[in-house]
Amino acid sequence: MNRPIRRVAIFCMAMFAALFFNANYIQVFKASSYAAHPDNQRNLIYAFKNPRGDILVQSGTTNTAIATSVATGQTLNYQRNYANGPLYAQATGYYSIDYGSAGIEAYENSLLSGSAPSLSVQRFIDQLDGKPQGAGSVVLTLNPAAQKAAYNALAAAGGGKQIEGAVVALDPKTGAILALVSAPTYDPNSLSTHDRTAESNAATALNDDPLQPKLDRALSETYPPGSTFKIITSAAAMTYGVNGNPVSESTVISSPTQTLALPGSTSTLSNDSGEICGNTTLIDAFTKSCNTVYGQLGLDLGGGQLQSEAEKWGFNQTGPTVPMTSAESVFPSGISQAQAAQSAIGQYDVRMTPLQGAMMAAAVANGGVIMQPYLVKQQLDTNGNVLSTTQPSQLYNPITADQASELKDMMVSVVNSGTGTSAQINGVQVAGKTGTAQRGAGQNSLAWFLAFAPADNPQIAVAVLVQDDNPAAGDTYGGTLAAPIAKAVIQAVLNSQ
Amino acid sequence: MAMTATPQGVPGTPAAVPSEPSVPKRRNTELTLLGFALVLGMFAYANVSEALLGKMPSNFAFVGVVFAAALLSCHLMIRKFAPYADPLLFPLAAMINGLGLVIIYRLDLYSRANALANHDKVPSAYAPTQAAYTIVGLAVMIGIMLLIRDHRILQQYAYISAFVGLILIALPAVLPASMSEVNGARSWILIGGASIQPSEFAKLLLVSFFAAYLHAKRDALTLASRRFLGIYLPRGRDMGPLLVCWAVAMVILIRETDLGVSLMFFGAFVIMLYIATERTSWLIFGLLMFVGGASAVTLIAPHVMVRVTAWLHPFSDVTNTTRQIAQSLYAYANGGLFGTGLGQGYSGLVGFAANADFILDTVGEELGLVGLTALFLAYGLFVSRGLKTSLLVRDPYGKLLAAGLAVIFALQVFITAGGVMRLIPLTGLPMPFLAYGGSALVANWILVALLLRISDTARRPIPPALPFTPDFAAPQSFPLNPAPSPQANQVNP
Repeated sequence: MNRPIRRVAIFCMAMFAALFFNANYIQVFKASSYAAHPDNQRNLIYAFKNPRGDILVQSGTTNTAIATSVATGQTLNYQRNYANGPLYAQATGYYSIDYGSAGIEAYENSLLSGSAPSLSVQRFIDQLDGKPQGAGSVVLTLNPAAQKAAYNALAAAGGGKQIEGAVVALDPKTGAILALVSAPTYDPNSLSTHDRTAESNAATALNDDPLQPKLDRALSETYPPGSTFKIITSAAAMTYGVNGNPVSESTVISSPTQTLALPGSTSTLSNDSGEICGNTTLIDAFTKSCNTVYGQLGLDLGGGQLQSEAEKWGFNQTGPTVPMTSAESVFPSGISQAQAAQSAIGQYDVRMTPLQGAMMAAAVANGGVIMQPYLVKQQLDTNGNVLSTTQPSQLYNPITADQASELKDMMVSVVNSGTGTSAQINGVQVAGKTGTAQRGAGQNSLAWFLAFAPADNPQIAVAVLVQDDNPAAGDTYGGTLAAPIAKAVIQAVLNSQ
Repeated sequence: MAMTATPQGVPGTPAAVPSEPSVPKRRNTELTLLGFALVLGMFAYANVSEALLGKMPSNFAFVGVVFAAALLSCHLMIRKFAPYADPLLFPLAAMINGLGLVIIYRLDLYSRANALANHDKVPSAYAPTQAAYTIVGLAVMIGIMLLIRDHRILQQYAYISAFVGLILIALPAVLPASMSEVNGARSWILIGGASIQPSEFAKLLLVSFFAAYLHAKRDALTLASRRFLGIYLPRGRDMGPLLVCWAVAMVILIRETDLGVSLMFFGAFVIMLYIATERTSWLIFGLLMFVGGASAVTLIAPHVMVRVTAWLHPFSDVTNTTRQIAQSLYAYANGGLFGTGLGQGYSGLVGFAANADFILDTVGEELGLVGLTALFLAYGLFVSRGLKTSLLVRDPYGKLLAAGLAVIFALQVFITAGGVMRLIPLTGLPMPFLAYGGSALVANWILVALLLRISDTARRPIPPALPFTPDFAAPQSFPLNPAPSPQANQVNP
């Protein structure tokens, strides 16, 4: 019987060999495909296994965490907690089980999760020590005082009802983003909770909300800039001259004073509330925001020159990444004379993001140079040591220092004696430009205010947008609705220094 | 069996009491390996506790001393009562049993943490029960070894074994589902709070019966056959036992929804039939009958069809019918080459039976391909020592019994591991020595006892026949010059 026993032994060996090859097949060959299956809960478990790094803001030299990881004691070990969720929602974003992530949570994920190459040495040491994988932290450029001021002022502007709007404040010298607010906002805690039912309900509610609270109006939405675009039209006039003559702030622009007929069209351009304004100096027209003068400039310059000037300021260029990607601001090409006149006052198809507005104010404030806007000031390693600090860099240089200086005079004049007087601050010279952009029929105007301060040594450039679909009568002007918000943000920044 | 007989006691030479031929007993090898098994298990225990609780187990020294004492006393009993027993069988079984205990403890901690997190009632721990059954199993092993001093005695109980074995195996099928069904497979007997897997005891009894039966009938089965197309066709009436066995296997498959038990018994019978008759035709018939029968049952029995579909398309219904196999595959995939480390995996996600039918998932995930391969080698080595014993032992019944035990053990490992690793459809068998389950553990320790006993007989040198001397007064009935016994003086390699 020994011969069959030996054969049976070979058969048993074959069975074990089959098990061995099968183990190789499922544990090595097919491992990544099994691991990637959406039903495999390990993906989630590992994503929430270790604490993520903090997201911090600085006030003075003190770091305050606005996003931290909290141990849950459950299968998914750590849950994200946002200390002041709605206030910083546009910057932090959220880190959700079922709805992905957004904002800094998404764009700085490799550092916050600890998988970034810059942490590899640390990771190796932790592994040797048997410590869990540590994560890096992110320090934002946001100024908590400015952020709060912008958030509160925007909320108060609705007078008790929810309005839409956005505030972007920059340090014009560096491009650091000091405030980033979009209203209405949402609580990222509601999407980051590990109560899957509550999470799902919150996501549905946010999606169904007609005001779309998750929309980042400051970075990813574009709006007609209205009269704030007159900054660029003025710059175009200074750059290219009008009818062969150089233009400065004191050049008199000849134009109708009440109604500008648009060539090839039955439409006309008139000043707000039918004011008499025109045939005056550039600075005077800017101060009063004369549509007839700027419409005439549009006709004189033509669509092509307006377009090439706008593109120097960032229009028709890919929106800056801050690191979140911002939308592209648009100036239409191949437009008629009538459309050029409308575009010169920021109407027709001109659209920009609030970030672009802040960059325009910053260009004037910073001697003609637009710095790359950025939200991440520093990356920290697991122990809080600085891994990297963002170095400011130049993004655009649309105008000369002389032109910037003249535009500054014009913007100062707007606040001192023009449409933006409600942005005046005792003891601080504020420069600004209002805008009240018409939208489609049946929609209320958008209120804009672009500003910087102090005029002689600018610390902050800010853009405020308010979209009130149900305003108190006659209350949609940039000067009345948006300028006070800009003032509050400027005061907060100047007081915090 | 080649026999050699060397002449002993040449007349005229001085009378000398012949010394036993020296065969190494290898008991110290066994003791060393037992020490290794103990250290491995205790290290793994400390590892799990450190990884999951951040501290050494509070009863570490106690557990270490208890198991060291248990293993040592078993070793001493073997040293005394089965000194020639195979030195690898016991340490291998002890090592796998120890690893199983650690993994059951590890899964206890998983269930506990899960329950605490969900504010559920903390489930009772399984590891202490399994540890107690380990001690019981070891005691039963020694008891059986003392009780059965010669394995051939079991031949006398062949038909009783068959009767009891069939009852055990059939009982879950005739009991109401409430008393036999656990997780969809009706292979249990549930009485009061206790649950036993009768198939684990039945496999010992039926293998013993098969061995005795085939030993008695092998000549008829071997010789009475016609040659047709190069293979020997058995006579129709000799097909009887095969048909009966096949019928029982099919009934198990249909009634107990248990492809594993069915395949294990039928496979062991066919292979033992092949060993007894050396006729390949039995293997071919057996294989065709099982594949044919199982295919037919698959088509008519929906629950078997579900298993087969889950095997072919493991991700087609991940929330319901293919949940377990999908979760099982995720565990192996996560383990990869080196595993996550003990306590670092999530094999508990497979849910129910994580520490029983699916216990291999934890080995695959936490010890990786490396650890899984090592475990397969341990199982393979155990099987090979069983077959080696079968080769060495002299009596045909012992050969068939040892081979049968080794084969049914190998089949159980293959069917269980192959099922949870999607090599074959998933079945409901526990991994021997590894999985939670007191009855299975005790039954497998009895299997070790039988193999130890047979291997002791196999390796024990036969004392040489006493030399013939004139002053030796032989009884009258004793032939004066006996022909040397065919088994005399054979020294095993």
